[in-house]
Formats: sequence, structure tokens, C-alpha cells
Amino acid sequence: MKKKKMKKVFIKGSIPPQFIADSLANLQSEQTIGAHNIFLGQVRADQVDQNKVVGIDYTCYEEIANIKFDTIREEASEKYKLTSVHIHHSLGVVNAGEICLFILVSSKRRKQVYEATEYIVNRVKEEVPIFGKELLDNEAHQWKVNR
Amino acid sequence: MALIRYFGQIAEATGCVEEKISVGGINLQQLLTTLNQRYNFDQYLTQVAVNHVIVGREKDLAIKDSDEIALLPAYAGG
Repeated sequence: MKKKKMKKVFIKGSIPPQFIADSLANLQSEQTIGAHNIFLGQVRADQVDQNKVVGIDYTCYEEIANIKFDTIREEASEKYKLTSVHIHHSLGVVNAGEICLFILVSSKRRKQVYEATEYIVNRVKEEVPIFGKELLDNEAHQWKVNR
Repeated sequence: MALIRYFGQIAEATGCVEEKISVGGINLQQLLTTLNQRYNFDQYLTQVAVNHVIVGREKDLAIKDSDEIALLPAYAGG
């Protein structure tokens, strides 16, 4: 059996707005789609005592992360009868205010895309081995933990 | 020699992202105990993967020299 090619998920640095626009434009030829839903995760400038988060340096265990992203994409497509699922995540430094996670879910109808987006975001946060070092404005850092 | 890979806060504790260790005849629990005595990362360890599969950290699993063992802290994607 031919091995299926895994989709490229990781992007070095922040996810540019143009990349998001291009992903949407590429779906215009797919005319069975009636609804898109987009989730964008943005790095937040959290206050940590007297300091502020200025960015997050993301690393990952890429071999497992790619397998997990593939499984999540396939299971979400099956469960919600989706036409297409895009998942992209940053690696390396993403500054506060920039986009680090981009999920684009497309289907015939509206209801599924809302539910599928939430399902995918939750699974990405819980199951994908991505690690985030929060960089503070005093040049110290702390490690981000999903709760 | 098994390849041990460290990530995130655990890599910060060990001071390296990977190393090769001779593991003849020991199981996963013994390996983790030995490494933790050296680096003191236990408070950060949440998952262990052997050959790209997440396994329980208490698992009585024999480790071979051809294995890749990854020590993973809490996830922070998104």
C-alpha cells in the first residue's frame, strides 16, 4: 500500500496573515463547500508579576507531533464530515500579538464547522507534544503549560 | 546505545537535547530513576515516548540499545 504523505503543519516563526488569506483562496475552487470556520491562536502579553510576556519560543517532538496532527485531522474529518481541514502551528519565536496557531475547517454546512473547530483546538492542545518557553521583558523566561 | 531525547523544561534541566546511553538489561522505570538521579527533572516529566509511541512512565518495559526514548514535559501548543 502506498504510504500517505503527511501534510506540512509547522511554520517557522509566526503565521503571516497572507498565508491565512492564501489558504482560503485555495479553497475557492472547492465549490461543494458552504461554510468555513477559522480559529487563530495569538500570543498573549500576559503579566507575570512585574514583567510581561513578549513572545513564546515553541519547540516540539516533530515525529510524534506530525503523527498526532494527521490523526486529529483524519478523525475530525470523519466525525464531522468535513470537506477540508487545515492545521498550522508555529515553531521558534512568535512575538506577542502574532499568530501561532491557524485552523481552517470547511464543510457543506455551518453547524459542523463550529463543532469541529472546537474539537480540533482541544485535541491539539491536549495531545500534540509542543512546548512553549514564554519570554519575558526582563530577559527571564517561564514554561507555558496548557490547562 | 539507546538515544535519549529531552524536550522543553526537561532539556533545560539536563543541559542537552539528546544523549546516548548504554541500557543493556534495564527497564524503563530503572532508566528513568537513573536519569532523574542525575538531572532531577521528575517534577517536569509528564509523558514518556518509546520509539515515537507514548507509553506509561511506570511501564515495566525492557529497553534495548536500538530504542529512542523521549522525555516530555507538559504540552503547550496553541
